[in-house]
Amino acid sequence: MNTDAFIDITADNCPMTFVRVKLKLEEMSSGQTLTVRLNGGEPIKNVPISLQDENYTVSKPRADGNCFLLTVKKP
Amino acid sequence: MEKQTSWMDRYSRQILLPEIGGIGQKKLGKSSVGLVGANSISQPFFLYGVGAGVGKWGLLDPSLSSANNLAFQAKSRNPNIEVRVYSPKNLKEDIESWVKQWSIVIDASNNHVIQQKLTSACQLTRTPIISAGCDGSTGWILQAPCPFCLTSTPPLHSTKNQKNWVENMVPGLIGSILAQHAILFLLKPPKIASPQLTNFTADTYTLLNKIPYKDPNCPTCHITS
Ligand SMILES: [Zn+2]
Repeated sequence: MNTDAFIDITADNCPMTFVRVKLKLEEMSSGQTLTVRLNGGEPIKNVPISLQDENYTVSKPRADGNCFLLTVKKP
Repeated sequence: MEKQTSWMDRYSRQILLPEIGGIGQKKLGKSSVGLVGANSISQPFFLYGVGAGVGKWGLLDPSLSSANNLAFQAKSRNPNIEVRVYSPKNLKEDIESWVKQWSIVIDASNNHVIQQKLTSACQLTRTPIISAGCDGSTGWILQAPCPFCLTSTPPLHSTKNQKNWVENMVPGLIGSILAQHAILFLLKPPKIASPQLTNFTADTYTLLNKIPYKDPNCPTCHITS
């Protein structure tokens, strides 16, 4: 899948997971997409909700080994 | 500038706020405040301001030891900020040059003469200013004061020289509200800054937020109340 940027937050804990994604998205332009690699558990539960709260469009998570991938579109 | 990781850790709660984010946080880091007065209003203001990550500070007070003491407290709270201490006697430049180097001037002098001087210097140099003071149980914050209105409509503070209602409670509260005003201003400076007063009376717990403050005959400010 085509994406404009990629970030791996599997080494971070909440809330730093969302902080990193948010800072990355702020650097991007409207309409661009970011692929996020994240862990199950808290990150997969919290990060999509936090993104949607800030009006980002978030794809359904896809499995990637033990982790997940999300595609986020900047409005 | 501190390392990216510690910067994210330190300000993560603010970066998470939709109103601030990474962009706002960087803006605060690049902002500077010229703070006048080292006292019980400026202390809470200063500590909240450095905690929020406002990067550069100048503290002006006739007592260099009070100013240095406050600067030391601020640096202990956030070692990444830059603070310089000034005394009116040792000021190398005139007051206009001093005020115009800051993103905003905060007048916590609680002294009407100094307030008028700073307000005029800020108007001349188009430097934003917020003034604050208190007397007894009353405290006030004046955003974008107009020199004419200040002169013609005498001080907001009385000269009754009342004792503090509760030691340091009113100045502490005013200093905290002042920090909120200043940080919002730095994040998003208003296009038109008209004189606005926030008034607090401790004995009745009344907070009047942002009411227009002007002399109806003022020739320079045209705001409708
Ligand atoms: Zn006026």
